[in-house]
Amino acid sequence: MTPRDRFEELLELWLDDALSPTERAEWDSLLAADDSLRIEAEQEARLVALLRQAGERRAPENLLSTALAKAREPIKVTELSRAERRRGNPWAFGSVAAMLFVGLIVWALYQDGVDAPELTPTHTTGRVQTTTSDSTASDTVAPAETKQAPPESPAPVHSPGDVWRFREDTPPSAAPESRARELAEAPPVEPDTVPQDADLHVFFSTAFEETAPSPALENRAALERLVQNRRARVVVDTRWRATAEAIAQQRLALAETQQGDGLRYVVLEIPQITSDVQALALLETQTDESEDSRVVLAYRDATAQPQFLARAAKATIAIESFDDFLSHMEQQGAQFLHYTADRELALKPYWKDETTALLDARALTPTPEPTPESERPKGFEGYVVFFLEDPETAARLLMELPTLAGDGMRNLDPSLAELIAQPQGARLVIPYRIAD
Amino acid sequence: MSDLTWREDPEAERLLVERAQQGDQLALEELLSMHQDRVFRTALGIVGGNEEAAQEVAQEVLISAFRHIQQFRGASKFSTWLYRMTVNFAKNRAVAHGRRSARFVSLDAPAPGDEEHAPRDHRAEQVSPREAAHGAELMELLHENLGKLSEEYRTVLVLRFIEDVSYEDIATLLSIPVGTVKSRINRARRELRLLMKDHLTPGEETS
Repeated sequence: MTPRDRFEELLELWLDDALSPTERAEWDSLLAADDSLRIEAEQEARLVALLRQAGERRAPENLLSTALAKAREPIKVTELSRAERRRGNPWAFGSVAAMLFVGLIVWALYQDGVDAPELTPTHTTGRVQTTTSDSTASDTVAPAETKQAPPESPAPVHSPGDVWRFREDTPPSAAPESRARELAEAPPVEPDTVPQDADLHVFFSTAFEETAPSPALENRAALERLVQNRRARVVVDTRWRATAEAIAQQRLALAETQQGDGLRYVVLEIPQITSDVQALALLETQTDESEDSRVVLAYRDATAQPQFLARAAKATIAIESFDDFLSHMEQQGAQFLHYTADRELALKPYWKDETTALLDARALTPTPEPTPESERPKGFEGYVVFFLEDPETAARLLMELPTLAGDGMRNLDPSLAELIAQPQGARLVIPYRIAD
Repeated sequence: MSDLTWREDPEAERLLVERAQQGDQLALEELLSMHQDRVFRTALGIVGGNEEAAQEVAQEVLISAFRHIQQFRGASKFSTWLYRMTVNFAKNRAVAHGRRSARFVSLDAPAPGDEEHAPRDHRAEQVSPREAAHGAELMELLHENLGKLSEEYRTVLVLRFIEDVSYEDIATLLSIPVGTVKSRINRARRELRLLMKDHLTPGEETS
């Protein structure tokens, strides 16, 4: 092996940062002995650094949304493309000819049956065959009728009772139902392969242990029961009222929130989830003339730069109701704690176990400095508080929080109150505004 | 900001894939959202810095992934599946646009270090290194010179250094041996260095 070959070999390792100590010494001596090699190595390193720098490039803001919009469009097959396909596909002509042939036979048999005034037993047999053929032909050539048949009833929800019987309380949108049906019909997920759901299972199975139908369905069933439970306990006339017995036991008062016609704006606030993000400040609305107001989440860092705007703006996960929103959050490991109109309460680190030295609560959820009235973001009329065991997940959810539109606000699930005492974790505090 | 960017989490990705294949659109969107940057970057590198073309390719990839998520069998990483689609779509696009590797300069001809035979960078002749060696301009130059490489050289460089894909994964997604990947990367890197050598002198900034 020539020194040049050895240089090439070591260069590759060096660039991959994979030199052993011995190779490192050899590499250094090679470079020390030959200036041209040293320059070449430096250039290679700079080139690689430059390439890696190109790896910081982000996709355009609207790339995914545009792609998704296109992906959801039905695939259009134009007459031209059909003709092209037929031209290149001799089977197309064959199948047309076959269909014509079958059609002719059916027609001939039918005519035979209709035109024959007196049927012999043989004809009767033929008649029977004709009927059969006719029926078959009808199935073949009139698929539209089949399509127009009423759809099958949805599969029964495999949890006790009718999970969705409180649907009349919710907005008329069909999406939550279909979502719920998907949820109910989804195959069960094994707890050991789905840690978040597993956690959910562990928690909820405590509250609903007696009615758990089977271990395999516990995760899904637990979610269903959660929704059912939540709906069962919140009646229409107190829909906007916090029913917070369990919270009250923690000596926490929940303020009432004015009734409104729907949840319109949701923004998310994580106090000092990192050192540079102080708080959210920006709430933007996008109005779609054909639908309700839509919301784009945006954030400003301590320097007031809306640096997360693009990232947040792409988070246009379509969620039609607050229940769906809750389900979405819970599926990602966030536990709904409570909802309050009291900002101070929402941000209060009450969940911290004072005796636990493991966590400096202030590092995660410092009590915020009083914000001058003039600087307060407008539209904050209430807060939804979630709990997450993992602050990193909270940070991720911050970036992924879906936009939310529509009404269907729900309040507290008292069975979740014990989570408040959790000594670790982070909270997502989500202020919202109810439109007047 | 780095604290808030997506972290690699194979378990979360696996879960998202599973849910996406069960028809969970939110999971699928999230999955694609996680990977859109790398799809775009890869496309950008392979199409030689043409942003419009890269967006077209990236959109095709995302649309295709959205529609055909069921076809992902999990034999490789989800990102590898996407990379493979990106490479294929970018290649197809190049073919469709009749792009040839006319500017490809074989490295078989010049001996290593034989710089007088190195391909000339005409841009470098017009713009002084110091002028070009800053930020976006240098990046533009990089993409321009990447565009001068053959498509197969571009592809391995982009995957290895821009996307930080392992040699093994590159071998898998390009269906070539690992040894070929390494030698191809070496040649590609050497060729690109020769194209950019005026901008890689020790005094130049790369950031």
